[in-house]
Amino acid sequence: MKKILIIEDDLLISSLVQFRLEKDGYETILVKDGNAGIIAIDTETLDLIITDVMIPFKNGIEIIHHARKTKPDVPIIVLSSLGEEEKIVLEAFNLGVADFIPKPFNPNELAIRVKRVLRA
Amino acid sequence: MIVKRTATLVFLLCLLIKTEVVLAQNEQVFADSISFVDFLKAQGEIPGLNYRLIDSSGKIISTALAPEVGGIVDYSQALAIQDSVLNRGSVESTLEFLVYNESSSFEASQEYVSNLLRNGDIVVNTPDSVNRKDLISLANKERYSPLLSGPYSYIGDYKIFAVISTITLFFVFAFAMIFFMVLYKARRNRKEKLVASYDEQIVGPLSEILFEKSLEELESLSNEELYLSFPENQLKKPIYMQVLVGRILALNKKMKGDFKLKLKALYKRLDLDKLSIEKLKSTKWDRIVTGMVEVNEMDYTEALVWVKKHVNSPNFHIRSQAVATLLNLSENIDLTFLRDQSFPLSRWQQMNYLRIIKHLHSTRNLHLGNLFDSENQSIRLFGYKLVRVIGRVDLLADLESKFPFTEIEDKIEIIKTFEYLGVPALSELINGSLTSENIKLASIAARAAGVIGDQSTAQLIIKILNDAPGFKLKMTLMKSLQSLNVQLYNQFIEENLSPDLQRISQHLSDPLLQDV
Repeated sequence: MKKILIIEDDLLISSLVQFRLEKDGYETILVKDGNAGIIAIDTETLDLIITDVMIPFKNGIEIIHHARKTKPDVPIIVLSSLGEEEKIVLEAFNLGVADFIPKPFNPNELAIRVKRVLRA
Repeated sequence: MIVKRTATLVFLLCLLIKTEVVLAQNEQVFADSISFVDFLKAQGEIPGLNYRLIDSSGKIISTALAPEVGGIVDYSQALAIQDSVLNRGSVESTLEFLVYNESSSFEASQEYVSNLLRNGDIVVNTPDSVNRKDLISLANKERYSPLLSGPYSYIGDYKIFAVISTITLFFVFAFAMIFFMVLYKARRNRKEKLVASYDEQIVGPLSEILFEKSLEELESLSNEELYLSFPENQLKKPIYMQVLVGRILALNKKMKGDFKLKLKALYKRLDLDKLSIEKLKSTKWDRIVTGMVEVNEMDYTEALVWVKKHVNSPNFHIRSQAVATLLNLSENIDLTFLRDQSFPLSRWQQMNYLRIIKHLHSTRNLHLGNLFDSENQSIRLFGYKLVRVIGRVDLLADLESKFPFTEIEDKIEIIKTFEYLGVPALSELINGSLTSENIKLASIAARAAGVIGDQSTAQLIIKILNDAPGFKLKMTLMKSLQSLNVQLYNQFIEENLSPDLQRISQHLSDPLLQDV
């Protein structure tokens, strides 16, 4: 079973994403802030990371930096608001994230993209 | 208020008691010497007061009844002895008063007796009063004692009373404040805990229902099925409902596609729309605004009837949100709700409405022309601005026809609109404004003349240039003349010897300065 780490501070969004992905047969780990995200990246064996950009303690870019250093093979999907700074989004892409899903989003669309990224 | 009044009453009462005591000390016991003598006669023996007879040389007259030492104790007796001495014709005698065996004057003795009476040290010997048992007479027999004694004596002194009252009130208010703060914090903590707990209770069923049920299934959900996800008893709790509304609204913002439709269906199925309408009927402005935000977010068009009622509200937030909601949700936007507003539009409101209208004008039928008929000038000006920002060229003819009957500010805004859109206007519109006595209007018209004027405008500029007030206006007019007809401009400069106009011309022809 593929294991996905979800780093999102919005309880509702994270629960919806978790519910949708578990329905598709993935195992999920849900964390609400950057620090917990870093710990999960270091301690868990992951197949995919889904992260928001604006999260407490450490932002999404720092998470991506850390993941690239410690788990370079794990793909990352960034889930974030379109209103967020273009610079941050571009930086995320430059760091080699697999996909970027802007909010508002459709959880079904997210599930499809997750499937595509994991297949690749 | 009650505490304050009671304190005032007690204070005044104490002041009254205190005042009476002071007056009693200064009160004159005997009105005159006769009443004092009468009192001595009636009283008989008075402790510490004796009498003796002395002759004209000051020598003590000693009799059997009036011993030399000790003196006579009863005043009546003293008088009788004096009479008997007189009858015997022995010597002329005078009655001398002795206070504690010391010779004393009549006035000093009177004062001594007065003090005894004031302090209640002697019982007034009035046989009548004893017989009648009069309360006052009986009271006279009682020794004086202050009404407020011991610990209560503090409130007898109004200064101490005031200080004690202030300190007491301070502590009372301090404790009351602490009590209410603790109470408020406890209630807030309780509410926060409840919200967090409801949040967790809601997340699961909400995710499940959104993924498991189709839109049709959601719309036709029975109460029993609904209560499985959201228990009936919980749905009766206002905080639970509040959390539910908040979460559905938050999700609606972050979701797209059929999830949005499902959330709206669920919102109605849970009767949360009724809560929103209840909020619109509230008397509190924040509840009304929250209700309108909910209606707006959930596209609840059925509630627009209630929203419309708030369009002309004296509260800025309410009317701003009401107009924004109506603009967002109305299918056919005739804008009469905005036209009939009596309050002036702020710049923030104009920006807010413009943002919505810019987004909507391509898909909805906006009757912008209605705004030109508003009695509110700020609305009319907003209407003219909208014409140029969203490029409603079809309304320019309407503006042209209204131009002669409008006020100066309207004229300025209409000219700006024509200039912005670059559409040539009727010559009266620009020519009439060029000769206006209003400098602001004349300047705007001079600037616009270069874009929307015609040859008649160029001729008019030549006519008025020499007499135009101010350097700036002359320069604007010359710029416009140059754009309208270069040949005419050059000819005018050659023929005109005005040093001002020559300098402006040199300025305009200088490639470095022409845009300065």
